[in-house]
Amino acid sequence: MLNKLIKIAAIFMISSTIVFAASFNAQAEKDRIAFVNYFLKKFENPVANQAKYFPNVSKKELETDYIYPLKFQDFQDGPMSWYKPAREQFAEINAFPPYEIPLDDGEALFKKPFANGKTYSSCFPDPAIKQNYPYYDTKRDEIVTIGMAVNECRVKNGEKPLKYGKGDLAKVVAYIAYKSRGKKINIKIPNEKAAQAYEAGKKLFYKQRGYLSISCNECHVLSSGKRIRAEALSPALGSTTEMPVYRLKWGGLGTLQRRLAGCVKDTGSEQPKLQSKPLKELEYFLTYMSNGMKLYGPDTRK
Amino acid sequence: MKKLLLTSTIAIAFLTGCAMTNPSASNDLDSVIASAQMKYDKAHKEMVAWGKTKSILEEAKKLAKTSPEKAMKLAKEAEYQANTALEQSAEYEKTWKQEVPQ
Repeated sequence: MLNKLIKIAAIFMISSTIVFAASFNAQAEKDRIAFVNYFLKKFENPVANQAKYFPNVSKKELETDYIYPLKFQDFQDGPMSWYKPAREQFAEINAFPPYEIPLDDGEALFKKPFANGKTYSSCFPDPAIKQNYPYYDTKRDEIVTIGMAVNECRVKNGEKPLKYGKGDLAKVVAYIAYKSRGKKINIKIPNEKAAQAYEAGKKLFYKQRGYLSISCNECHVLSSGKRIRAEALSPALGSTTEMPVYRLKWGGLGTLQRRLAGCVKDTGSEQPKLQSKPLKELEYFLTYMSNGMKLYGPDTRK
Repeated sequence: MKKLLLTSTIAIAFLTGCAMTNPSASNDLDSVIASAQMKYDKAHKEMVAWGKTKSILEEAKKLAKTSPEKAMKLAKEAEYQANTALEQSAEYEKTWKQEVPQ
């Protein structure tokens, strides 16, 4: 009898945990599906959908310079996914990918022993882990990014943390990203606090700010598939798959956080600090939106 | 000669008076800086502060003793920016959810 009761209680606990775990991401899943569908519809046939999505783009440009229809995974290519001139330029640039040398440096750093003789492998036995980052750590009640994980590994091994955003940290992250190529993004929302962090990131993405009164949404959702002068605006969908990137403007590798902080600054807002809570929440939201998409970083961007 | 001396004395006295820090003006400047700081802090906390508000406010504080007029102008600008950022944020708070694709 007691055994039966224990079994029933165990089954109840397991099933309720599953139900609650599923409910924490219910809103996020709803958002993600609508988000993905928006982009798929928008880029299904820009010529036919000109009035709805591209009223200020000439029909001639839509016919000659736009690539369509785009499928889910195509969005990994950012502006090159939809804009022929950008794709042609990048094909030339990536004939000799500028990220290759820093990627090699990243591999060397990853394998180089710390002072205690251990390497990054002591923390990441399999470096193909980027698809799971950022994740919500339920014990620490905070979002952990891949950059944080790298630095925590260093500290654990008696080394000083690296500067976030670029340099050696970006190189090590590039190596991890490279080893994670082909893995599908798999961001989870394990509890209520994680759901709150997701919502905070969502708000940061959609709410207008800065003296220009614009949001991430305005450039990378509503205006994705359009140009600012000669520059093609990248769709937000898939925008975390290629990170870190070698950006020609930077003349080196930079992490997703560096790019996001720059983007917030471009709205005329105060630039948030790297690894600050709001920036991590934005990363969490944005990466969740690309759940299921294959990683293919590092890559090159303008 | 006497007239010239008298005029010069009056002019010097007048200019000295102008150059002296007016206690009430100084109080005004302090209160504008304090108000700008308070509004900036709030905007910063809400992550809606504009890009240059902090540096304008810092400059105002730096010039408070040496160039109070310029400092006042900067402090008012910082206060205006922080205030506008907060007002806009309150407005966008009501509307941002409409932007989420459904």
